[in-house]
Amino acid sequence: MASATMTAAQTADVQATSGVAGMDDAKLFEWVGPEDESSINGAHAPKRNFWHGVWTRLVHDRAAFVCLIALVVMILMAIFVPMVSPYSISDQDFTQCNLGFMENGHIFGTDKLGRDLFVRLCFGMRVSFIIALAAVIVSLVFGAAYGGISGYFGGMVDNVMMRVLEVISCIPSMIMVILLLMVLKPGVSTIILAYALVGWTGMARLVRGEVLKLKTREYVLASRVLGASPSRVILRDLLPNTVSIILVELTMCIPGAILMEGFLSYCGLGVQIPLSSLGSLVTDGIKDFQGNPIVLIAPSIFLCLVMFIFNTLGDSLRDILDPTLGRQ
Amino acid sequence: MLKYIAKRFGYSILTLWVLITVTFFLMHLLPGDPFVGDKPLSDSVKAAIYARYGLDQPVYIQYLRYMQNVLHGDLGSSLIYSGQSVTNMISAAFPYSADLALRSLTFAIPTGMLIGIMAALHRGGPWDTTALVITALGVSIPSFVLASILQYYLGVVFSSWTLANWGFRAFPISGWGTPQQAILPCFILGFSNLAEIIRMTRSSLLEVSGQDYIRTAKAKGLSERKIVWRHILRNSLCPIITILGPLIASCLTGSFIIESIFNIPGVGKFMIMGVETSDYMVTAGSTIFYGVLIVGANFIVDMLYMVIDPNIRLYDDKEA
Amino acid sequence: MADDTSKKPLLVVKDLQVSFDTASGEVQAVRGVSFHVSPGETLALVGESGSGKSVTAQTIMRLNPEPPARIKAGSVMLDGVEVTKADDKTMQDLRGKTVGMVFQDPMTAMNPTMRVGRQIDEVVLEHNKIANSEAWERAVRIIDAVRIPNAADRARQYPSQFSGGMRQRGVIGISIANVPKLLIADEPTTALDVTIQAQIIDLLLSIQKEERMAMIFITHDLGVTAQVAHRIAVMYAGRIVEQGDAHTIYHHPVHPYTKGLLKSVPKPGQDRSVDLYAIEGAPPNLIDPPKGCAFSPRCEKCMRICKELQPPATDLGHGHVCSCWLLDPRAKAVADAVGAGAGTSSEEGGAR
Repeated sequence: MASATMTAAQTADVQATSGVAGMDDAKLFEWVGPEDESSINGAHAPKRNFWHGVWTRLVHDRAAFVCLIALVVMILMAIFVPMVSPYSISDQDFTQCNLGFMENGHIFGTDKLGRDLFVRLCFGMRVSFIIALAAVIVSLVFGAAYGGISGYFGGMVDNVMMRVLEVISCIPSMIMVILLLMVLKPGVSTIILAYALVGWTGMARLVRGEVLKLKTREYVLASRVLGASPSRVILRDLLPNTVSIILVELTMCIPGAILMEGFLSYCGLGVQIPLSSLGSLVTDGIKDFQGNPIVLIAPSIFLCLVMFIFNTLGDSLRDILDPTLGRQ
Repeated sequence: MLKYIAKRFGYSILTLWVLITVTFFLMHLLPGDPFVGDKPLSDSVKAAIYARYGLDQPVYIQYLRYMQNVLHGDLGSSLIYSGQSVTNMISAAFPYSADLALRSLTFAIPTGMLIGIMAALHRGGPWDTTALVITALGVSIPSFVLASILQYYLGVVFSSWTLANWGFRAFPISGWGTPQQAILPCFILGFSNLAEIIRMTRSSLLEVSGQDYIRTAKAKGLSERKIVWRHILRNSLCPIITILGPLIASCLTGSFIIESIFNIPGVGKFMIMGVETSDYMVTAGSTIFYGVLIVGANFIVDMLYMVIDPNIRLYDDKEA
Repeated sequence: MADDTSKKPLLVVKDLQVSFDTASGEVQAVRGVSFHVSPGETLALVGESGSGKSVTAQTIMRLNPEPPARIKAGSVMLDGVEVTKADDKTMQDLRGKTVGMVFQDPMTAMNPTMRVGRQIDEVVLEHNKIANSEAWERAVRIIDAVRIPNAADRARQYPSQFSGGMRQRGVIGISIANVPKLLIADEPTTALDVTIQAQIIDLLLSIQKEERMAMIFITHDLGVTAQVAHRIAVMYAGRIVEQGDAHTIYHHPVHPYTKGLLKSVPKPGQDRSVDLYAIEGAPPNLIDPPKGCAFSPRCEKCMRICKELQPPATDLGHGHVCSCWLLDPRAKAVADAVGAGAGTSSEEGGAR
């Protein structure tokens, strides 16, 4: 590229231009006019699909990409291993108790009742994922709706709804869940319900804040001036624009739900035998691992991995979707 | 400003009232009956016991009576350890819990803030790496997993080795009292909070560092040190203080796992015991007790926040 | 005006090149910029967003975070100091004392948790060895000087108690607290109401006149420039495409971009039924800037050479310098023929 320092002296330097692209002066100084509008606008700011952009950046973030792959592998394991394995989660074989790593065809050995740990682990992941997903969806639907309504209507409605939320979020969620589980029968659906009852406050607060911010924007105003109903404004104008923060919050919620399931299992309020979850396996492992360390180590590693993966994915998503937060 | 304080205080009271009410009614929905033991009780004995605990009254009478008692600091008496007052049990147990929480916070808060601040000021350096590693470990290892593993490998395996070689156990696996017994539980309880504090401090500092007024401060010709101390730290402190409330809460409520693993006779241990034996007076009592602590902590944090951020004072005066 | 420019310049920027290293590549924000400012003189840097004017200004104070910013080449001589090679200590002495800066958004430019008076006396204390109480008195006098009533009370308030216009006065107070030789105003009125804009510009001009400061006034609004500037430099895609004294730029612009900008300024008495002129297209991507003239894709008089080679800077006399191939004698045909229509724009621009 020609140097930027061009003095007046160089202006007269006719030689400077000769020989460019093999053209003579007459051709070089021929009028060509501006490029047409589409190529100007399109050339430098390629308009790509929003989600396509997010996906591309996620895949290019090395940590996020590795986590994504690991997550897919785990989900596949959770789905298929219990289906294809010769062992089942409840088959007890007392001749094969407390086997270690890779012994007698049991990849992660067996527990004290002779059940294959690998199958139980994969099944446990299945249960944990289902709990996490369901809990998060329920809290998403409730939290987003609550926050959306509160933020959209504002004023008195917002005031009352926020006071209610404040009171609820002041009650420690773990205590609430334990109380609930004492009343209801422990099990997968109860855990989901319990989490949904306490886990939506963060989401509601987030969505409300965003909606409060968005509803003063001109395009929302325009929509309201044109006579759109509140539900239409919330559903069509406001919620789609809160999708990115909701998505980040969701990803961050999942480890919370899985962790809660683990704590509940530890307190004896988790899923009931013969089902297994990551939390219940770790809890069982804690009791028996001194004789056979793998019964604690394998589920612990998987539990920690799942937590780590979702946290990392959430961080990456936040960096991508909300450049004003986190590291820039 | 007084209005702000009064308002916050009002919410705290309201929160506690909701908590007590919810707890009471949940306990009454409980399917388990603590008096259905191994021996079937005759109807007359049962009636006598019910009358003694006021269980024969209509629910709203029981509720009012319970409220009245709670207001007087009486959380009822244990159904299992007959005659034992829950208030007494908790007040005997609380010093242990408070000690545990306090020690772990005095470990976690300064350490976390230091690492977070250093990580934000020297991004990409060794402090930042440390912060990233601790945060990643802290968010992915549940405390009961960490506790069980450390209890075995440090408390059992390593301590037997020190006993054999140096003549003492490095980390006792249970109990409370000696400094050695405190190390593991405090570290584990503080560890997950440590991660949260580091994350919060670091991101808060980074966010403030990117603000326009920091550029203004730089344009004034202030040195890096003065910018950090005068402008960045104070403004990034506000969000950090807001997490102190939830943090104290998670320390207190999180401690019941640690207490039961390390066999520390704190409130959490009683609560778990109450859950296991369906002694709902104990469970309800410790729930309410935790609630008071947490709501109180949040209230104090709100007050602290007001001192630090002048804008809260000003705006609330105008609005209220 | 002419006698101002003949003085020894306070600030000389020569062939400045600044890049930002980002994840998606090197953004060449400033690609060879040269200008100078003398004491008492106001230079307006005009250009659309992303043209590199703020980066240029912040480089003079080395306010761009480095990294990602990087000064690739060039020199900035400010009051005898080579800024591009200065160490932290030298820069700290320069900032707030020799050069002050007014920022675009007064809402965020002040520390929300610090009293306004303290924010001003902080910069006074930093560069003068005086007692705290004395510095505070000076801060109050400065607040008074930027025409905020009840200065003594206002000094004890926080920025959130100030209106937007008042905050900008406060920010101006911070920037002039030590009577700098050079004042950089980076779009100081963009974020303000139109009614406040005039007050703020008046204030800046009167302070500048009193203290004979040199000023760099950054704006994207040529209309504002008319009231302020002695000289104007028009920036596009990281380069100065045309600079000269205000009269010349307004009445005899040469560069097609300058002409386009002037045409797009609304004028009083203009026929409202006619749409305001807009330059079609968007500025180029500075990660991969065009090898020829950056404006060529949007230029109505674009020639083949414009896409191939950077136009050299042509000195048209009296400090009027323009970088455009149309000034080449060989481009006479295009300059006259296609330019007939666009040429009238300069007349329109001059009519204001």
